[in-house]
Amino acid sequence: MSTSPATFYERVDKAIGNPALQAAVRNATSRMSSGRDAAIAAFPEMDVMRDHARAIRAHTIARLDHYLREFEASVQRRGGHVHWAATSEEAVAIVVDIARQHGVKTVVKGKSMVSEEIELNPGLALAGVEVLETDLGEYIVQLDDDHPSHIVMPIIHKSRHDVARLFRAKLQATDDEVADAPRMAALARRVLRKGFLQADMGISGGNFGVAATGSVCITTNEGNGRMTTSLPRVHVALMGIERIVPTLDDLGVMLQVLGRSATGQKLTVYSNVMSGPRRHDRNGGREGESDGPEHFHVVLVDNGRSAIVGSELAEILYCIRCGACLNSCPVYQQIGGHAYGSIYPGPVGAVLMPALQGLHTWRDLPQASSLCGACREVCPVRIDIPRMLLELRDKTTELGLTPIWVTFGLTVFRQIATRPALFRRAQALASWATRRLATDGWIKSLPGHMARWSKKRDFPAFAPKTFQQLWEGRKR
Amino acid sequence: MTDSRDNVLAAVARGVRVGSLPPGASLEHPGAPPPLIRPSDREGMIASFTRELEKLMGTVHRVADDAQAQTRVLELLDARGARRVLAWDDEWLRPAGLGQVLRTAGVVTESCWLPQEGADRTARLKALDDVVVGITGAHGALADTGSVVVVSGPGRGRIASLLPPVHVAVIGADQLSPTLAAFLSANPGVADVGSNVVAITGPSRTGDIEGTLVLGVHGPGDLHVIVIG
Repeated sequence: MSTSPATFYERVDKAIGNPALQAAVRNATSRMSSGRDAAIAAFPEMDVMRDHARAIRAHTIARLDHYLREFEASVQRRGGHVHWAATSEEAVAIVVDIARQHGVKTVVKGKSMVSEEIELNPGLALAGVEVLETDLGEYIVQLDDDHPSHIVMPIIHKSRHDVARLFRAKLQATDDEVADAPRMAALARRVLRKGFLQADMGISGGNFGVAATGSVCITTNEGNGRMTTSLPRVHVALMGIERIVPTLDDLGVMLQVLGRSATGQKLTVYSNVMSGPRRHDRNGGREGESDGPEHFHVVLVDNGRSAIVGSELAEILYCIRCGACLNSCPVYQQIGGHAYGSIYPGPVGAVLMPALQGLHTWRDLPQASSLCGACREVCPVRIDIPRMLLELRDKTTELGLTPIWVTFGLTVFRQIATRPALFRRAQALASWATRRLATDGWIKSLPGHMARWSKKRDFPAFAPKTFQQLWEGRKR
Repeated sequence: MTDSRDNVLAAVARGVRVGSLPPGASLEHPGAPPPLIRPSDREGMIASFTRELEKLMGTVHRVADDAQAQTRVLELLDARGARRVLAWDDEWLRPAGLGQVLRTAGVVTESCWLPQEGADRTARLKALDDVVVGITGAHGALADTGSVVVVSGPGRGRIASLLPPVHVAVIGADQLSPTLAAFLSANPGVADVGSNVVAITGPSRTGDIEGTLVLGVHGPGDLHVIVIG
């Protein structure tokens, strides 16, 4: 994992103290949200389609063992290989083995969040395999030794000036080559194209696996996903075990809600369905397919997922990684992806990370939400994220992981709130005190130990009269 | 890692068996997708296909017959000074005889065939690196989204619609389906036809740098669909 979870609040402080980062994240999330809203406004069937998409995901997870077996058999029938990885270490070892078995020296890689999760690139580097990220954003992340801050748009935390500086430093780019986004993309294209033409192996993620047909579907806009899976002689697809859909028809439904929710597109530019390796004729002659990978491997990664099946958090396995909950989240909009310190940030990450790796490591993430429900509103498969955040907060308390000052504060509050006379006096005292501390009705900073709390929030002063006092006055 | 297979499947089966049914789940498959009501007449579909693809900065050329289609392809090549194309084999191109027409006009038509072995494969790909135009047919097209559905196969290489910066797909108006769902239900065995089925919806694009739209990052940035009829 990228950063120590113990320093969550320090990372948040750093993020909200960086106005350039905040502006970049706000621009990107509002752009993506309005793109999504426009696409959905233009699609009157979105609501029934979302209901259907949810039903497909829920049904698949309810029978996941059945569909995983069917998927495996279908891939094998087409001449592909299926590998099972219980942990991230196993997943990395499997990919390294495949690379060795085929004498692979260089790899081109498409965008895959699972590969970030299992920390594949360092593992391949250790084995002496050179990896080139080919999604433009991921390539920039790799060049800068950085981490993606969004699951769909990896570099929304970077400005074009940041990218220009990076290309000058790492690619010896000229001023002209980094003058604007199109020229920087063109420069990256030239570099990456060399990689595509000579790579021995391509590694992709998998948006969906189709059980009935043994297909892996990836969606990309740039076309790097097609290059990665078509040109090299070996293709390895990495997928979480939950990414299965039963049929091609079901895949069609998922693709329609995915593109609209992620980027406001009716369909992503390349909806790419791969069913096994290149199909040769009996003699390996020209009667067979012209091109495509000679070897097709699918790595199914568990890494904590099977334990979520059947739990109260199972719904998070419906997720199709569109990123809409990140874009709509008022917390993500303020702090960006890196502050979460997790591979999967935002509302989905706040449930998924503790679900995959435990609350002891990720206890702060379920707190990083105002429970406003925006994530549930936009989710294409209607995942009830706020419900699960509350479940996780409950569990945090049960495990005794709640910070002492929260427990203490709540105990004091309970003592006061259950005694009406005391409560009235406390109200009067709070009203007097908060109004003294406020400027223009808002408390912006508090003295002493309370300063840490007020640093991140403004709090309104209490009204001069309580509701009960106003009510009494009204009756007269 | 045979143990892992059994362990993972056992863990999943345990969760499925002992856990409560996930919210909204049914043990029965939810069935066919909800129907989308879209134009299904030829003119309605062509209009929708054209509007959608042009919104994405692709270009649609509607031509009356095969002869016009051939002329249009030659015009597109001339405008780009393209003397070499990466094309599907003649038997898969529409109109029939397009490959011969191109060669007669002095255009070299490169085959999509890739050697299996690594070094030969790389050499062949490098030799194709500077080809400017790829020419393909399609398995179908989607009016609702402006997509062409391209399926790989013998003589129908993936690279023709991928490697060159310009992709020209020639289709018949009779190949249009109203929606993706309609296409899939009319072609239930499409994954058996080729190892790669791709719905191409507009030119290659990225918004990774500050959301600025850039076309032609890795795939073709210039997409032309010629619709005959």
